[in-house]
Amino acid sequence: MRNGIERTRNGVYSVAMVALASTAATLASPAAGQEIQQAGSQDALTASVSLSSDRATLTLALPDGATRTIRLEKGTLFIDGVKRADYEPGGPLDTEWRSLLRSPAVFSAEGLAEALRDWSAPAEADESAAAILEAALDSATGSTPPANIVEVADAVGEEVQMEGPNGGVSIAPGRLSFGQLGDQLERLRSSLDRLGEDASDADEELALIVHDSYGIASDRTVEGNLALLDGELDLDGTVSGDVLVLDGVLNLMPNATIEGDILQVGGEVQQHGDAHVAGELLSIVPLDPPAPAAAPDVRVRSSVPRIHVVERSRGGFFGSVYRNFERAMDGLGTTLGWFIGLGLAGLGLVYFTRPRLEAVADTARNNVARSFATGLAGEVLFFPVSLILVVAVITWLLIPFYALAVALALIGGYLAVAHAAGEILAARRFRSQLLERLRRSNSYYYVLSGLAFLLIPYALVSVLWAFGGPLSFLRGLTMFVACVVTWAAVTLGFGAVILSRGGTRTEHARGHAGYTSRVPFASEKEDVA
Amino acid sequence: MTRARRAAFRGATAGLALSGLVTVHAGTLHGQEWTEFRSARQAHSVSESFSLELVYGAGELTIEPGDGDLLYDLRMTYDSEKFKPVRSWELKDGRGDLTVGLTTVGDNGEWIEALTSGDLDSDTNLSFDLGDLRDLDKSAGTLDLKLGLRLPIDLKIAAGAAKNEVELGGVALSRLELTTAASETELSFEKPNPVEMVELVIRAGAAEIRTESLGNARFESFELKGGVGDVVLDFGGEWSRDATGTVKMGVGSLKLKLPAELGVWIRKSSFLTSFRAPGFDKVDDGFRSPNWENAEYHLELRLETAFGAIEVDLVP
Repeated sequence: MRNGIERTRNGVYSVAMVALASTAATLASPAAGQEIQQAGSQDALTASVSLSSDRATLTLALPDGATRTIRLEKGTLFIDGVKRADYEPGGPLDTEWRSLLRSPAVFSAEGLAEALRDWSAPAEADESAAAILEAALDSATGSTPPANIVEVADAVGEEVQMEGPNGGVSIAPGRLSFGQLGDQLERLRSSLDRLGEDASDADEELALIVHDSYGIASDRTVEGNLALLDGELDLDGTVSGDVLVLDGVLNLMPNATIEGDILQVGGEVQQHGDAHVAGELLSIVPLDPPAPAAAPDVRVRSSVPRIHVVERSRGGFFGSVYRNFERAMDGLGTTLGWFIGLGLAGLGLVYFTRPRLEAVADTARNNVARSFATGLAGEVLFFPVSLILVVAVITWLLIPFYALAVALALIGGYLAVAHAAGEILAARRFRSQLLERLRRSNSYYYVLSGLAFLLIPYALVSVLWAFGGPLSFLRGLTMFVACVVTWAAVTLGFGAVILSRGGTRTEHARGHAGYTSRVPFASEKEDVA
Repeated sequence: MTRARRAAFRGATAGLALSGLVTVHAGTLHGQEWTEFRSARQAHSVSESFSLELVYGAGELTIEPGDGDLLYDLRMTYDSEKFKPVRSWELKDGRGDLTVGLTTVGDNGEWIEALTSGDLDSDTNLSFDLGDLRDLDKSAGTLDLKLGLRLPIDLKIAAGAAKNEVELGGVALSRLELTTAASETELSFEKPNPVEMVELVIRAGAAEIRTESLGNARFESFELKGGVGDVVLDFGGEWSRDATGTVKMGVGSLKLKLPAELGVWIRKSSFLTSFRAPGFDKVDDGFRSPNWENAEYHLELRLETAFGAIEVDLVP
């Protein structure tokens, strides 16, 4: 094709197209003429016109029911939608064509055919486009095509050599009607577009069009591109350009040499022996009937967790900054949500069971090692105990209560540790007697400040998201610390809950100088007594 | 966190993220327009060397040796409602450079860039635009590639959610790079590589990788970066040179099959990874096969893994 392949492009687009249009017009004209005569009158020809600043279209309804569309648009002449030649927009041909389309004769059933026959392109018009236009009108009206454009070979089964102003094209085997040729070429052009830009203009240098079964001998060289529209082509000779396969079967015989590419948009390509293709065999062929949708057995390990893949909009650096900021805000929001949720639970505990909460908090504070060890043991024993409860069928009823009790102990213990942490923080901060009294009496403050302290690492992780990838390691490390702190606090609190029997015993809560008893429990009252 | 662990973690994360490709492929079947794409060239179209980059989103990928007169012959069947072929060919000074494959209709290509960039353990690859992939299903067709045997080939394969069967025995490979996301991959070399391979690189996200006769690849350097999955590396085959290798894995199991006649020295840096290498001698900085001093050819392997198991077998 184009890349890296030495290519001769002597012919230009207009040559092939002029030849094609001329060919089509010539081949179609006898049949059209006959049919018009059979219809009895040219008056059956009707027309519709469409004019705009960059387009002038004449659509003819032929007596045989077919239509012919001739369009001049933005410098290109189209016949039946097929690009045929170039012209100068606003030039003599464009002006004269628009003049014809505006003439009353075009809209007269009686005078249409005569007006089209009598119309001729101005002498200074683009020669190729003018010739094609006149040929198309002549074929539509049934008049004789200009003798200087085409020469028809009568023999069916042989090549019909067409001569245009700048070159020629051959049709084989034998002639092909204008309509069929136009349709096929339009289909070929649109199909080639599927192959990409490289192939989209490959039909512009056609030297030979094969539309039925045909053979090219080993001593024959086709100078230019070859299009196989249908039938079976045995190619044993040389093609100096590309071979385009729209339909049918291309048999590459042992002596076949293609100096360009094979561009296949349908049909088949079969190689027999050592055919030489200098370029590429490139094809896109719709499968008919549709292939079974055999889903590949792509098996992903079941252990692989499926995660949310972040979908981002394109935004370059600023998009990245925005995403990082968004993640940071998400993280802070989540942390704040946890703070509010746990804080409300803590405040509820203080309000309803303050002595017990304080007892657990003091136990955790004054017996850290013992509480932690107890909590760790409790966590370790959780599953064996659960297993025992499951195995001993009679204990099944206890399982929900056991799970609930453990969950409450874990949460309550964590809040008690938060209380203790808040108390320690307050002790470090306040020194006056007044504030000290306030401190002692304000468990609400302890819980909230302690919770804030315990959740700070998570907030820090969220903030670090704002800085994106460069701080990912620090972010991971902080997250690790946050998780460890949380686990330690939960374990410590869980142990304190166990040691203090849910805050009902205070013997483990005593032991430091600053310990101040609260409203005594019943057992404590007895002790005091 | 050590560099190895960090790399392993990132690899694992990348694997998980890329495994999302499979997730987003799940969907209902729509109208399908099945199409066959073929691109082929004969060997004489290139005189010096050939570079082929293959990008394939999802489906069954098969690569095998072709006949001698062939440069390459690629056939793909796909649903043109969802996929489109991409192809680029350049010939310069006798060197052919082909990029070919399949991408998604409407996709801006970013995820393929992520696959082909060879930088799977970068954070930037974890948030690529999936384009229309989330509307796709897994019935993505097939790709069959035959490679010629005459010219040295620099082969780069990037496959997304695919089942890959790659047999490259006898193919003249100067370099091989295989990048895959969520996939099952079998890579084998039934015959020795006619030319020496500079580098053999495998990058995988969430994947199962089985290799056979890697010794026939005749590589100078081997590298595997894996996120999540099971990997079997069979270094059997006809060794004809010394080589080095690096295996970096996140989560999963790694099994090394090493020919007994090959001198092997394994250095490892791992975290929470079991290691079993019967028949190897423990040395200061790793494990060494008993024949290290006398072996004709040597392979030095560095293993960097986290969360998994490594098993090394000496194969007689």
